Amino acid sequence: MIHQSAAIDPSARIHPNVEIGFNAFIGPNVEIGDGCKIFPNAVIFQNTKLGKNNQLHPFAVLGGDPQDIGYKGEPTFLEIGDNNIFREGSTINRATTKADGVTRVGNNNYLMAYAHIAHDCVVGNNNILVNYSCLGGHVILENSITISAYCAVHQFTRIGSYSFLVHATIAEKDVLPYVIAGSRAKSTATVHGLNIRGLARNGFSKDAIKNLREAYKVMFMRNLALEQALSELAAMQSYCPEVGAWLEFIKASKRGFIR
Amino acid sequence: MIDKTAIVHPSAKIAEGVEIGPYSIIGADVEIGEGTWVGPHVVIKGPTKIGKENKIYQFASIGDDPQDKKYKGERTFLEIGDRNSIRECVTIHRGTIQDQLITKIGNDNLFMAYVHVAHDCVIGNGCVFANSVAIAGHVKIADFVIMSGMCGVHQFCQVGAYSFISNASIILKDVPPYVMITGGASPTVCGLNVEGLKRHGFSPASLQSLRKAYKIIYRQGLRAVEAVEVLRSMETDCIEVKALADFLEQSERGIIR
Repeated sequence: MIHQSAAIDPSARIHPNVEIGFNAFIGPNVEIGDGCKIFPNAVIFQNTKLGKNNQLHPFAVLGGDPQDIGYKGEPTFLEIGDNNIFREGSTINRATTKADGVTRVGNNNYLMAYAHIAHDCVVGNNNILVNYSCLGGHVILENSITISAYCAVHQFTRIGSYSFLVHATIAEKDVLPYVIAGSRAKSTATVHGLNIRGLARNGFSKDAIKNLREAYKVMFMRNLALEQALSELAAMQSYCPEVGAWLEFIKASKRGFIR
Repeated sequence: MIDKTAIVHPSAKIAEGVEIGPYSIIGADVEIGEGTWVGPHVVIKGPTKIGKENKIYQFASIGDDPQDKKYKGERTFLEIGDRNSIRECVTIHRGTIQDQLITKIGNDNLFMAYVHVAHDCVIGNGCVFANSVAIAGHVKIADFVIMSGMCGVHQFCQVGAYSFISNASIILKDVPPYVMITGGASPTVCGLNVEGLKRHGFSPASLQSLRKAYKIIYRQGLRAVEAVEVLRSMETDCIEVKALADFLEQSERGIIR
Protein backbone atom coordinates (compact mmCIF):
# COMPACT_ATOMS: atom_id res chain seq x y z
CA MET A 1 0.00 0.00 0.00
CA ILE A 2 1.33 3.39 -0.99
CA HIS A 3 -0.02 6.42 0.84
CA GLN A 4 -1.37 9.09 -1.48
CA SER A 5 0.75 11.81 0.13
CA ALA A 6 4.05 9.97 -0.56
CA ALA A 7 6.16 11.72 -3.20
CA ILE A 8 7.44 9.07 -5.62
CA ASP A 9 9.53 9.79 -8.70
CA PRO A 10 8.08 8.17 -11.87
CA SER A 11 11.44 6.44 -12.54
CA ALA A 12 11.27 4.49 -9.24
CA ARG A 13 10.72 0.73 -9.60
CA ILE A 14 8.67 -0.45 -6.65
CA HIS A 15 7.53 -4.04 -6.03
CA PRO A 16 3.72 -4.23 -5.67
CA ASN A 17 4.08 -5.67 -2.15
CA VAL A 18 5.77 -2.61 -0.66
CA GLU A 19 4.27 -0.41 2.04
CA ILE A 20 5.04 3.29 1.77
CA GLY A 21 3.84 5.62 4.52
CA PHE A 22 2.56 9.15 4.73
CA ASN A 23 4.79 11.85 3.29
CA ALA A 24 7.66 9.49 2.45
CA PHE A 25 9.96 10.61 -0.40
CA ILE A 26 11.25 8.22 -3.06
CA GLY A 27 13.58 9.94 -5.54
CA PRO A 28 14.75 9.08 -9.07
CA ASN A 29 16.29 5.73 -10.04
CA VAL A 30 15.28 3.90 -6.88
CA GLU A 31 14.44 0.20 -6.80
CA ILE A 32 12.54 -1.27 -3.84
CA GLY A 33 12.14 -5.05 -3.41
CA ASP A 34 9.36 -7.30 -2.14
CA GLY A 35 8.06 -6.76 1.40
CA CYS A 36 9.88 -3.54 2.22
CA LYS A 37 8.22 -1.16 4.64
CA ILE A 38 8.89 2.54 4.23
CA PHE A 39 7.42 4.30 7.26
CA PRO A 40 6.16 7.91 7.33
CA ASN A 41 8.62 10.70 6.56
CA ALA A 42 11.44 8.32 5.50
CA VAL A 43 13.54 9.37 2.50
CA ILE A 44 15.24 7.36 -0.26
CA PHE A 45 17.04 10.12 -2.08
CA GLN A 46 18.21 8.66 -5.42
CA ASN A 47 20.18 5.92 -7.26
CA THR A 48 19.45 3.35 -4.58
CA LYS A 49 18.64 -0.35 -4.87
CA LEU A 50 16.88 -1.92 -1.90
CA GLY A 51 16.44 -5.73 -1.62
CA LYS A 52 13.62 -7.55 0.16
CA ASN A 53 11.96 -7.01 3.56
CA ASN A 54 13.87 -3.93 4.63
CA GLN A 55 12.33 -1.48 7.11
CA LEU A 56 12.88 2.27 6.95
CA HIS A 57 11.68 4.08 10.05
CA PRO A 58 10.70 7.77 10.18
CA PHE A 59 13.40 10.31 9.18
CA ALA A 60 15.87 7.64 8.00
CA VAL A 61 17.64 8.83 4.83
CA LEU A 62 19.13 6.35 2.34
CA GLY A 63 21.09 7.32 -0.75
CA GLY A 64 21.80 10.94 0.13
CA ASP A 65 24.80 12.69 -1.45
CA PRO A 66 28.20 11.64 -0.02
CA GLN A 67 29.52 13.92 2.72
CA ASP A 68 32.74 14.59 0.84
CA ILE A 69 33.96 18.01 -0.26
CA GLY A 70 35.38 16.51 -3.46
CA TYR A 71 31.92 15.37 -4.59
CA LYS A 72 30.67 17.33 -7.60
CA GLY A 73 27.30 15.73 -8.26
CA GLU A 74 28.48 12.68 -10.24
CA PRO A 75 25.97 9.79 -10.52
CA THR A 76 26.92 7.32 -7.78
CA PHE A 77 25.00 4.51 -6.15
CA LEU A 78 23.86 2.70 -3.00
CA GLU A 79 23.03 -1.01 -2.94
CA ILE A 80 21.30 -2.64 0.02
CA GLY A 81 20.49 -6.35 0.53
CA ASP A 82 17.60 -7.96 2.41
CA ASN A 83 16.06 -7.89 5.91
CA ASN A 84 17.81 -4.78 7.16
CA ILE A 85 16.28 -2.42 9.71
CA PHE A 86 17.08 1.30 9.55
CA ARG A 87 15.80 3.13 12.62
CA GLU A 88 14.87 6.75 13.11
CA GLY A 89 17.29 9.30 11.70
CA SER A 90 19.84 6.76 10.48
CA THR A 91 21.67 7.77 7.29
CA ILE A 92 23.51 5.89 4.53
CA ASN A 93 25.21 7.96 1.83
CA ARG A 94 25.87 7.12 -1.80
CA ALA A 95 29.47 6.65 -2.95
CA THR A 96 31.97 9.08 -4.42
CA THR A 97 33.84 8.44 -7.67
CA LYS A 98 37.09 7.78 -5.78
CA ALA A 99 36.40 4.01 -5.59
CA ASP A 100 33.93 1.98 -7.68
CA GLY A 101 31.03 4.39 -7.14
CA VAL A 102 28.83 2.10 -5.02
CA THR A 103 28.20 2.06 -1.25
CA ARG A 104 27.21 -1.50 -0.32
CA VAL A 105 25.22 -2.89 2.62
CA GLY A 106 24.47 -6.65 2.91
CA ASN A 107 21.68 -8.47 4.74
CA ASN A 108 20.21 -8.59 8.28
CA ASN A 109 21.92 -5.45 9.50
CA TYR A 110 20.34 -3.34 12.25
CA LEU A 111 21.10 0.39 12.26
CA MET A 112 19.77 1.87 15.47
CA ALA A 113 18.68 5.50 15.77
CA TYR A 114 21.03 8.17 14.28
CA ALA A 115 23.63 5.60 13.09
CA HIS A 116 25.55 6.69 9.98
CA ILE A 117 27.24 4.79 7.15
CA ALA A 118 29.34 7.05 4.92
CA HIS A 119 30.18 6.98 1.22
CA ASP A 120 31.96 3.96 -0.34
CA CYS A 121 31.54 1.75 2.76
CA VAL A 122 31.17 -1.99 2.30
CA VAL A 123 29.05 -3.50 5.06
CA GLY A 124 28.53 -7.29 5.27
CA ASN A 125 25.76 -9.19 7.03
CA ASN A 126 24.29 -9.46 10.56
CA ASN A 127 25.95 -6.32 11.90
CA ILE A 128 24.51 -4.06 14.59
CA LEU A 129 25.27 -0.34 14.70
CA VAL A 130 24.01 1.01 18.02
CA ASN A 131 22.72 4.58 18.44
CA TYR A 132 24.93 7.49 17.25
CA SER A 133 27.68 5.17 15.94
CA CYS A 134 29.19 6.24 12.63
CA LEU A 135 31.42 4.76 9.95
CA GLY A 136 33.72 7.07 8.00
CA GLY A 137 34.12 6.84 4.24
CA HIS A 138 35.50 3.66 2.56
CA VAL A 139 35.17 1.60 5.77
CA ILE A 140 34.87 -2.17 5.39
CA LEU A 141 32.65 -3.83 7.99
CA GLU A 142 32.70 -7.61 7.66
CA ASN A 143 30.00 -9.80 9.27
CA SER A 144 28.29 -10.27 12.68
CA ILE A 145 29.95 -7.24 14.26
CA THR A 146 28.53 -5.11 17.07
CA ILE A 147 29.47 -1.42 16.98
CA SER A 148 28.32 0.07 20.31
CA ALA A 149 26.86 3.49 20.97
CA TYR A 150 28.89 6.63 20.11
CA CYS A 151 31.60 4.61 18.32
CA ALA A 152 33.36 6.16 15.35
CA VAL A 153 35.36 4.29 12.71
CA HIS A 154 38.04 6.24 10.85
CA GLN A 155 37.89 6.36 7.07
CA PHE A 156 39.50 3.42 5.17
CA THR A 157 39.48 1.25 8.30
CA ARG A 158 38.47 -2.41 8.17
CA ILE A 159 36.61 -4.15 11.00
CA GLY A 160 36.87 -7.96 11.14
CA SER A 161 33.99 -10.42 11.53
CA TYR A 162 32.57 -11.28 14.98
CA SER A 163 34.41 -8.38 16.60
CA PHE A 164 32.83 -6.08 19.18
CA LEU A 165 33.58 -2.37 19.59
CA VAL A 166 33.03 -1.11 23.14
CA HIS A 167 30.95 2.07 23.48
CA ALA A 168 32.58 5.37 22.43
CA THR A 169 35.53 3.60 20.77
CA ILE A 170 37.39 5.55 18.12
CA ALA A 171 38.79 2.90 15.76
CA GLU A 172 41.61 4.53 13.79
CA LYS A 173 43.25 1.27 12.75
CA ASP A 174 41.85 -2.07 11.59
CA VAL A 175 40.23 -4.36 14.16
CA LEU A 176 41.03 -8.09 13.90
CA PRO A 177 38.18 -10.59 13.67
CA TYR A 178 36.87 -12.18 16.92
CA VAL A 179 38.20 -9.52 19.35
CA ILE A 180 36.74 -6.85 21.60
CA ALA A 181 38.31 -3.45 21.00
CA GLY A 182 37.75 -0.31 23.04
CA SER A 183 39.20 2.99 24.12
CA ARG A 184 37.96 3.05 27.69
CA ALA A 185 41.17 3.43 29.63
CA LYS A 186 43.29 5.16 26.99
CA SER A 187 42.32 7.60 24.30
CA THR A 188 43.64 5.28 21.57
CA ALA A 189 41.74 2.03 21.20
CA THR A 190 43.25 -1.21 22.42
CA VAL A 191 42.15 -4.83 22.28
CA HIS A 192 40.39 -5.91 25.49
CA GLY A 193 40.01 -9.63 24.82
CA LEU A 194 38.22 -12.18 22.68
CA ASN A 195 34.52 -11.66 21.96
CA ILE A 196 33.76 -15.00 23.65
CA ARG A 197 30.04 -14.35 24.15
CA GLY A 198 29.64 -13.26 20.53
CA LEU A 199 31.52 -16.33 19.27
CA ALA A 200 29.44 -18.71 21.42
CA ARG A 201 26.20 -17.06 20.26
CA ASN A 202 27.30 -17.48 16.65
CA GLY A 203 27.87 -21.22 17.09
CA PHE A 204 31.66 -21.42 17.34
CA SER A 205 32.58 -24.74 18.99
CA LYS A 206 34.27 -24.94 22.40
CA ASP A 207 37.39 -26.29 20.74
CA ALA A 208 37.52 -23.41 18.26
CA ILE A 209 37.20 -20.90 21.11
CA LYS A 210 39.88 -22.73 23.11
CA ASN A 211 42.28 -22.58 20.16
CA LEU A 212 41.46 -18.92 19.60
CA ARG A 213 42.31 -18.19 23.25
CA GLU A 214 45.71 -19.72 22.66
CA ALA A 215 46.18 -17.68 19.47
CA TYR A 216 45.05 -14.56 21.34
CA LYS A 217 47.81 -15.06 23.91
CA VAL A 218 50.39 -15.34 21.14
CA MET A 219 49.17 -12.23 19.37
CA PHE A 220 48.35 -9.93 22.27
CA MET A 221 49.72 -11.08 25.61
CA ARG A 222 53.28 -12.30 25.21
CA ASN A 223 54.77 -9.01 23.97
CA LEU A 224 56.12 -10.76 20.89
CA ALA A 225 57.35 -8.80 17.90
CA LEU A 226 54.69 -8.99 15.19
CA GLU A 227 56.84 -11.12 12.86
CA GLN A 228 57.51 -13.69 15.56
CA ALA A 229 53.83 -13.81 16.57
CA LEU A 230 52.84 -14.31 12.95
CA SER A 231 55.25 -17.21 12.47
CA GLU A 232 53.95 -18.91 15.64
CA LEU A 233 50.38 -18.37 14.48
CA ALA A 234 51.17 -19.79 11.03
CA ALA A 235 52.03 -23.06 12.77
CA MET A 236 48.58 -23.12 14.43
CA GLN A 237 46.74 -22.68 11.14
CA SER A 238 46.38 -26.42 10.50
CA TYR A 239 44.09 -27.02 13.50
CA CYS A 240 42.64 -23.53 13.98
CA PRO A 241 41.16 -22.11 10.73
CA GLU A 242 40.22 -18.89 12.58
CA VAL A 243 43.92 -18.09 12.85
CA GLY A 244 44.09 -18.36 9.06
CA ALA A 245 41.44 -15.63 8.90
CA TRP A 246 43.66 -13.46 11.13
CA LEU A 247 46.72 -14.00 8.92
CA GLU A 248 44.80 -13.11 5.75
CA PHE A 249 43.29 -10.08 7.45
CA ILE A 250 46.72 -8.84 8.54
CA LYS A 251 48.17 -9.40 5.07
CA ALA A 252 45.39 -7.26 3.55
CA SER A 253 45.58 -4.58 6.25
CA LYS A 254 46.80 -1.23 4.92
CA ARG A 255 46.43 0.90 8.04
CA GLY A 256 47.89 -1.57 10.53
CA PHE A 257 45.65 -3.09 13.19
CA ILE A 258 44.81 -2.38 16.81
CA ARG A 259 47.00 -4.49 19.05
CA MET B 1 -6.48 22.62 16.40
CA ILE B 2 -5.37 19.86 14.08
CA ASP B 3 -3.72 20.98 10.83
CA LYS B 4 -5.47 19.70 7.71
CA THR B 5 -2.31 18.02 6.39
CA ALA B 6 -1.81 16.02 9.61
CA ILE B 7 -3.07 12.45 9.72
CA VAL B 8 -4.85 11.27 12.85
CA HIS B 9 -5.99 7.65 13.13
CA PRO B 10 -9.72 7.35 13.91
CA SER B 11 -8.98 5.31 17.06
CA ALA B 12 -6.69 8.02 18.51
CA LYS B 13 -8.15 9.92 21.47
CA ILE B 14 -7.19 13.57 21.17
CA ALA B 15 -8.35 15.79 24.04
CA GLU B 16 -9.70 19.34 23.75
CA GLY B 17 -7.20 22.04 23.02
CA VAL B 18 -4.53 19.74 21.59
CA GLU B 19 -2.66 21.31 18.71
CA ILE B 20 -1.19 19.11 15.97
CA GLY B 21 1.07 20.70 13.35
CA PRO B 22 1.34 20.11 9.59
CA TYR B 23 2.39 16.65 8.31
CA SER B 24 2.36 15.05 11.75
CA ILE B 25 1.07 11.50 12.07
CA ILE B 26 -0.84 10.21 15.05
CA GLY B 27 -1.25 6.42 14.83
CA ALA B 28 -3.78 3.96 16.23
CA ASP B 29 -4.27 3.67 20.00
CA VAL B 30 -2.65 7.00 20.80
CA GLU B 31 -4.10 9.11 23.58
CA ILE B 32 -3.09 12.77 23.92
CA GLY B 33 -4.13 14.84 26.95
CA GLU B 34 -5.40 18.42 27.18
CA GLY B 35 -3.18 21.30 26.14
CA THR B 36 -0.41 19.19 24.58
CA TRP B 37 1.24 20.82 21.57
CA VAL B 38 2.53 18.59 18.76
CA GLY B 39 4.68 20.42 16.20
CA PRO B 40 5.02 19.70 12.47
CA HIS B 41 6.46 16.40 11.11
CA VAL B 42 6.07 14.49 14.38
CA VAL B 43 5.39 10.75 14.25
CA ILE B 44 3.54 9.18 17.19
CA LYS B 45 2.81 5.46 17.08
CA GLY B 46 0.63 3.54 19.55
CA PRO B 47 -0.25 2.12 21.95
CA THR B 48 0.97 5.37 23.54
CA LYS B 49 -0.56 7.55 26.21
CA ILE B 50 0.61 11.16 26.44
CA GLY B 51 -0.55 13.39 29.31
CA LYS B 52 -1.34 17.09 29.53
CA GLU B 53 0.53 20.19 28.39
CA ASN B 54 3.49 18.42 26.80
CA LYS B 55 5.37 20.06 23.95
CA ILE B 56 6.62 17.79 21.18
CA TYR B 57 8.80 19.43 18.53
CA GLN B 58 9.41 18.60 14.88
CA PHE B 59 10.90 15.25 13.76
CA ALA B 60 10.38 13.59 17.14
CA SER B 61 9.42 9.91 16.84
CA ILE B 62 7.40 8.75 19.84
CA GLY B 63 6.22 5.21 20.59
CA ASP B 64 7.92 3.39 17.73
CA ASP B 65 8.90 -0.29 18.02
CA PRO B 66 11.66 -1.16 20.53
CA GLN B 67 15.17 -1.48 19.07
CA ASP B 68 15.53 -5.05 20.23
CA LYS B 69 16.32 -8.03 18.00
CA LYS B 70 13.88 -10.18 20.02
CA TYR B 71 10.95 -7.88 19.25
CA LYS B 72 8.41 -9.63 17.02
CA GLY B 73 5.60 -7.08 16.80
CA GLU B 74 3.96 -7.74 20.18
CA ARG B 75 1.55 -5.18 21.65
CA THR B 76 3.65 -3.09 24.03
CA PHE B 77 3.17 0.36 25.50
CA LEU B 78 4.53 3.83 26.17
CA GLU B 79 3.25 6.24 28.78
CA ILE B 80 4.33 9.88 29.04
CA GLY B 81 3.17 12.14 31.90
CA ASP B 82 2.50 15.89 31.90
CA ARG B 83 4.41 19.06 31.00
CA ASN B 84 7.37 17.35 29.32
CA SER B 85 9.29 19.14 26.61
CA ILE B 86 10.43 16.80 23.83
CA ARG B 87 12.72 18.57 21.37
CA GLU B 88 13.71 17.94 17.76
CA CYS B 89 14.55 14.38 16.59
CA VAL B 90 14.01 12.76 19.99
CA THR B 91 13.20 9.03 19.83
CA ILE B 92 11.26 7.28 22.60
CA HIS B 93 10.39 3.60 22.14
CA ARG B 94 7.72 1.28 23.56
CA GLY B 95 8.48 -1.63 25.97
CA THR B 96 9.19 -5.31 25.26
CA ILE B 97 7.48 -8.46 26.55
CA GLN B 98 10.79 -9.71 27.95
CA ASP B 99 10.64 -6.99 30.63
CA GLN B 100 7.72 -4.88 31.78
CA LEU B 101 5.85 -4.27 28.47
CA ILE B 102 5.92 -0.53 29.04
CA THR B 103 8.26 2.45 28.82
CA LYS B 104 7.26 5.10 31.35
CA ILE B 105 8.13 8.78 31.54
CA GLY B 106 7.01 11.03 34.40
CA ASN B 107 6.33 14.77 34.45
CA ASP B 108 8.25 18.01 33.81
CA ASN B 109 11.22 16.46 32.01
CA LEU B 110 13.21 18.18 29.26
CA PHE B 111 14.55 16.02 26.46
CA MET B 112 16.82 18.14 24.26
CA ALA B 113 17.50 17.44 20.57
CA TYR B 114 18.49 13.86 19.48
CA VAL B 115 17.90 12.28 22.90
CA HIS B 116 17.06 8.57 22.76
CA VAL B 117 14.98 6.70 25.37
CA ALA B 118 14.93 2.95 24.72
CA HIS B 119 12.42 0.20 25.53
CA ASP B 120 11.31 -0.53 29.11
CA CYS B 121 12.95 2.57 30.63
CA VAL B 122 11.37 4.24 33.64
CA ILE B 123 12.13 7.95 33.91
CA GLY B 124 11.03 10.04 36.89
CA ASN B 125 10.14 13.72 37.11
CA GLY B 126 11.96 17.00 36.57
CA CYS B 127 14.98 15.52 34.77
CA VAL B 128 17.03 17.28 32.09
CA PHE B 129 18.63 15.34 29.24
CA ALA B 130 20.93 17.46 27.10
CA ASN B 131 21.59 16.91 23.38
CA SER B 132 22.41 13.38 22.12
CA VAL B 133 21.98 11.63 25.46
CA ALA B 134 21.24 7.94 24.82
CA ILE B 135 19.47 5.82 27.40
CA ALA B 136 19.59 2.10 26.67
CA GLY B 137 16.90 -0.47 27.45
CA HIS B 138 15.55 -1.27 30.96
CA VAL B 139 17.25 1.77 32.55
CA LYS B 140 15.68 3.39 35.60
CA ILE B 141 16.25 7.11 36.15
CA ALA B 142 14.88 8.73 39.32
CA ASP B 143 13.75 12.37 39.80
CA PHE B 144 15.66 15.63 39.13
CA VAL B 145 18.61 13.99 37.38
CA ILE B 146 20.66 16.16 35.00
CA MET B 147 22.50 14.39 32.19
CA SER B 148 24.84 16.56 30.12
CA GLY B 149 25.41 16.34 26.38
CA MET B 150 26.59 13.10 24.70
CA CYS B 151 26.10 10.97 27.84
CA GLY B 152 25.16 7.32 27.44
CA VAL B 153 23.62 4.89 29.90
CA HIS B 154 24.24 1.13 29.58
CA GLN B 155 21.23 -1.17 29.64
CA PHE B 156 19.80 -2.18 33.07
CA CYS B 157 21.59 0.67 34.94
CA GLN B 158 19.90 2.80 37.58
CA VAL B 159 20.53 6.50 38.11
CA GLY B 160 19.62 7.92 41.54
CA ALA B 161 17.71 11.15 42.24
CA TYR B 162 19.40 14.59 42.16
CA SER B 163 22.54 13.20 40.55
CA PHE B 164 24.47 15.19 37.95
CA ILE B 165 26.31 13.50 35.11
CA SER B 166 28.85 15.61 33.26
CA ASN B 167 29.34 15.68 29.52
CA ALA B 168 30.09 12.55 27.46
CA SER B 169 30.12 10.23 30.50
CA ILE B 170 29.24 6.64 29.70
CA ILE B 171 27.36 5.12 32.63
CA LEU B 172 28.05 1.37 32.94
CA LYS B 173 27.12 0.89 36.61
CA ASP B 174 24.53 2.40 38.92
CA VAL B 175 24.81 6.07 39.94
CA PRO B 176 23.81 6.66 43.59
CA PRO B 177 21.52 9.60 44.35
CA TYR B 178 22.94 13.10 45.10
CA VAL B 179 26.38 12.59 43.49
CA MET B 180 28.23 14.06 40.51
CA ILE B 181 29.84 11.87 37.84
CA THR B 182 32.61 12.90 35.47
CA GLY B 183 35.33 11.29 33.37
CA GLY B 184 33.98 10.52 29.90
CA ALA B 185 34.27 6.90 28.82
CA SER B 186 35.65 5.72 32.18
CA PRO B 187 33.59 7.78 34.61
CA THR B 188 34.17 8.24 38.31
CA VAL B 189 32.36 9.98 41.14
CA CYS B 190 33.61 13.53 41.75
CA GLY B 191 31.70 14.64 44.84
CA LEU B 192 28.20 15.51 45.95
CA ASN B 193 25.98 17.55 43.63
CA VAL B 194 26.01 20.34 46.21
CA GLU B 195 24.85 23.10 43.87
CA GLY B 196 21.95 20.96 42.63
CA LEU B 197 20.95 20.02 46.18
CA LYS B 198 21.03 23.68 47.30
CA ARG B 199 18.89 24.70 44.31
CA HIS B 200 16.33 22.11 45.31
CA GLY B 201 16.22 23.50 48.85
CA PHE B 202 18.00 20.77 50.81
CA SER B 203 18.74 22.01 54.36
CA PRO B 204 22.32 22.64 55.54
CA ALA B 205 21.81 19.81 58.07
CA SER B 206 20.90 17.34 55.30
CA LEU B 207 23.93 18.45 53.29
CA GLN B 208 26.18 17.88 56.28
CA SER B 209 24.83 14.36 56.83
CA LEU B 210 25.17 13.63 53.13
CA ARG B 211 28.82 14.78 53.20
CA LYS B 212 29.51 12.31 56.02
CA ALA B 213 27.68 9.57 54.15
CA TYR B 214 29.66 10.34 50.98
CA LYS B 215 32.94 9.94 52.89
CA ILE B 216 31.77 6.61 54.29
CA ILE B 217 30.93 5.26 50.84
CA TYR B 218 33.84 6.68 48.88
CA ARG B 219 36.72 7.66 51.15
CA GLN B 220 37.14 4.79 53.60
CA GLY B 221 37.87 1.91 51.25
CA LEU B 222 34.72 0.05 52.31
CA ARG B 223 32.89 -2.44 50.14
CA ALA B 224 29.28 -1.46 49.35
CA VAL B 225 27.87 -3.99 51.86
CA GLU B 226 30.12 -2.66 54.63
CA ALA B 227 29.28 0.96 53.74
CA VAL B 228 25.56 0.17 54.03
CA GLU B 229 26.11 -1.20 57.56
CA VAL B 230 27.99 1.94 58.63
CA LEU B 231 25.34 4.19 57.03
CA ARG B 232 22.58 2.32 58.87
CA SER B 233 24.41 2.76 62.17
CA MET B 234 24.85 6.53 61.62
CA GLU B 235 22.94 8.44 64.27
CA THR B 236 20.90 10.68 62.03
CA ASP B 237 17.28 11.07 61.05
CA CYS B 238 18.33 12.34 57.63
CA ILE B 239 16.08 10.60 55.09
CA GLU B 240 18.61 11.23 52.33
CA VAL B 241 21.21 9.05 54.07
CA LYS B 242 18.61 6.29 54.37
CA ALA B 243 17.84 6.70 50.65
CA LEU B 244 21.55 6.31 49.86
CA ALA B 245 21.80 3.14 51.96
CA ASP B 246 18.65 1.73 50.33
CA PHE B 247 20.04 2.46 46.87
CA LEU B 248 23.35 0.74 47.63
CA GLU B 249 21.54 -2.28 49.04
CA GLN B 250 19.32 -2.92 46.03
CA SER B 251 21.93 -2.06 43.37
CA GLU B 252 22.50 -5.11 41.16
CA ARG B 253 25.23 -3.81 38.86
CA GLY B 254 27.31 -2.17 41.62
CA ILE B 255 27.89 1.58 41.85
CA ILE B 256 30.27 3.91 40.04
CA ARG B 257 33.19 4.81 42.30
